[in-house]
Amino acid sequence: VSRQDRGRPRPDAWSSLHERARVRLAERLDEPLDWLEAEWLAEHLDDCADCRAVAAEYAAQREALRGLRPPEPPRDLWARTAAALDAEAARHPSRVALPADRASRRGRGWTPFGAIGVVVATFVVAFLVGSQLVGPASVPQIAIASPRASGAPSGAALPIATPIPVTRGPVAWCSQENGSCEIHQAEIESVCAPGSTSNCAPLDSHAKSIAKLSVNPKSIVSSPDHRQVIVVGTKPGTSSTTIYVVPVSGGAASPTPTAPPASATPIAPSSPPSSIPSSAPSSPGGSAPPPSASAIATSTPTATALALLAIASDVVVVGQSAAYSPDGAWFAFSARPVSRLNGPDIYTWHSGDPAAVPLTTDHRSVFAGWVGQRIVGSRADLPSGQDAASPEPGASGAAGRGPTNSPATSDAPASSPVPASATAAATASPAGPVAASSFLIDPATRARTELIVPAWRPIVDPLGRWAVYWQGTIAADASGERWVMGTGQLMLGSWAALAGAQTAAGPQPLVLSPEFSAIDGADWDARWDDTGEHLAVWIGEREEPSIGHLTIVTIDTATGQPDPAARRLVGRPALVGFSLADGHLAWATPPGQDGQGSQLQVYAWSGPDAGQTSSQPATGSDTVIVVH
Amino acid sequence: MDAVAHLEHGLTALPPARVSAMTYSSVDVRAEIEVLFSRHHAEIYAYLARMVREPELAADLAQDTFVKAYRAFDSLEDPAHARAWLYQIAHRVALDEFRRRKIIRFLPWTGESRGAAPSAEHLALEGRFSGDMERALRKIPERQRSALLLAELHDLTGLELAAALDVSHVAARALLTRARESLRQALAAERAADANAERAAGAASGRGRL
Repeated sequence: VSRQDRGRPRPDAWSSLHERARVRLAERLDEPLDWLEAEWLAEHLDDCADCRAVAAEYAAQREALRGLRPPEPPRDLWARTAAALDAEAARHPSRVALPADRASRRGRGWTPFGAIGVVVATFVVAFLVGSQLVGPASVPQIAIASPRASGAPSGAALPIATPIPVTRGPVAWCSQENGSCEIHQAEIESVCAPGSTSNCAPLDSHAKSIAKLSVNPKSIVSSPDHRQVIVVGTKPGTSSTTIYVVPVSGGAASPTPTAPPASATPIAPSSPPSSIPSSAPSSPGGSAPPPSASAIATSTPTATALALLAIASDVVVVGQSAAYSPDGAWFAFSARPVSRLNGPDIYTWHSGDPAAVPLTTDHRSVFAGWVGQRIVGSRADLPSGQDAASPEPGASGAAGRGPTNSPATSDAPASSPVPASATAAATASPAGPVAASSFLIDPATRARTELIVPAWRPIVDPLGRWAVYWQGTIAADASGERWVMGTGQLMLGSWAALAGAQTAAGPQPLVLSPEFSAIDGADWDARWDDTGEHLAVWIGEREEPSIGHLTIVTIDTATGQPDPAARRLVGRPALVGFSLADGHLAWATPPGQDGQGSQLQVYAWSGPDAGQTSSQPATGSDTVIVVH
Repeated sequence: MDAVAHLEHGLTALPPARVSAMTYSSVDVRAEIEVLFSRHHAEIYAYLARMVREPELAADLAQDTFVKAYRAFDSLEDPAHARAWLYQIAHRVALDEFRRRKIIRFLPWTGESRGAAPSAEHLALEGRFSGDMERALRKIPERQRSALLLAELHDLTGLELAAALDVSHVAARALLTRARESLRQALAAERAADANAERAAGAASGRGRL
């Protein structure tokens, strides 16, 4: 009794001294007892063998607990979490907002664990050390870029739950600076451990410079063999676009090119094609003499790097769907003359030719993609009673001209008699939404087949099985310069059914994803990877057409069904123009994203594993252009 | 203490969407969640795996934890408490799972596999957890187990533990003390059962030889 009285008065009513001793023994494992209780316990233990045994059991229990091996997370934990986060972000794009004071605090550069107390940092170290004991014995097949130490003193190695064996392949991009552009190329030899993208060595560290251009590129397209790129760019100080062919093969990629400007003299754009599709009636008023070669040459920027071949000048390239044919022999794009007299036509350039030539002359067709050696084109279908002139982007509403047989490039401002009213009408809001249809055309023979299903820009997978396309109306945007989506949906369906090669058989086309349905007023782009299993879909913003969001959709190649559970990347902010290869997607972030300049982002995967890496951010408002 | 009080305030008490005209980018929040993931996913997963004892389910719950962290990111006032905050979310996710199971099965959860036949992963995990300690851990009440794991294996301090468990400091201590005693008794019971089993096996093989 006397011992019990020595304890600090507590409301506890002990059923026995032994119970009190047991509780105190447990408590003292977590924090020291007060001295009176500690003294009482010591005395009790002296007299109580059972309680000493309990003390020993508690000590052993703690040892055993601490000796347990931590279960290791599955390798795909990051991939699935990232997909869930992406889905969450897509569901609630503005879900997370911070009070102003927090935002500003973060704006000053807060990084987790960067400026935190020693206590938490110590735990991180303890944990990391612990996890290394059991962790990475069975990990990666490829190099994981070692994260650079940032906040945590541990910096050495973060626990790696997801090894990332990626398919190797090059990515190329250009960082714009003061009206020039240096194209870099890097092999994706390593990707960052998931979640460590902000700490990881940039792609630039092992990139090589493959070309340097004194143009402001809008888009850059690589040939299938990576031996040349086609650059769509504007001359410094002008808005006129020129399309150059730039060799970049292996050793030609000198970072300090010395080719004299003379070698870069471009060749005049196309002369009128010798054969005109018979369906295109000739219009006398539309035929204008092509500008002289010298005029083009003088207005062409000096190429500092390599011998450039300008295959088209003074055009406005429409959209980002320019592409080489699978064999690399042809290059196709959509363009219209800078004079804006006409809507867009599909142009082709055959490797070795001096210039690109128009493939269509209806001034309302755009290039959608390749299917083997044939081109899929799409055309705005005008309401009956209207001709091609008025309701299309860039078309002259007042002139009322029919299709001409002259190449668009011949409508240079200086040589085209443009009524003032026509110029004014070119920027006026055109007629309302119109229907669209598509066709297949052979660039060599110009043989043409209409698709039976109305569709806008069907983009067909490399195996020719499935196509993604817009089903609905299209309309000219406010500027009158490009087509945007009206009402409709992005569909995924059998290419054979679309082309009419197959009728009722096969699965019905389905809406690609509900999230892509509300894109009226916006533009979109899509690319398949080589396997036809992955489709990257970019949806532009209405107000800022160069910025959009990028999503990877995984397709069951047998059924053509998108697999919503296998989504890898959802709604990442991306500039227009991206590249999707077997196992990696590369895009450029808009300037200002995460407070960073524009940078190349690469998301690479293999099976369920995925990782990411990026280039150094560009400075200021300069943007990165992905070579696709 | 403010941070702890805040954590005790609870994530669920937050309005469903504290969205204002602020346009702090969800991408920024995502980047911060990525950093938190890279630092803590292994321990969060380990905690959940020990709580639910099913690797696949634990991975789902770990994923849920980070998605919930993303949603409730603005409840994290002090980045120094990010780790405890994550554990708090993980703890709630685990308890929600237990509640769900109890509702679905009308049976107290005993830590056994949900399915009729245990999965290969479950067996693998079972093998890893086959020691007395693991079996004993599974026998003690969930909240006690949680307290013990967080304190002993995840090194949460008193205040962090209280925050993660959503209780007061005093209550967290009491829970921990009870957990140690429960575990001690469960461990003793496990060892007694082992000894009995060995004796039974020895007796059986002895009879077999006769």
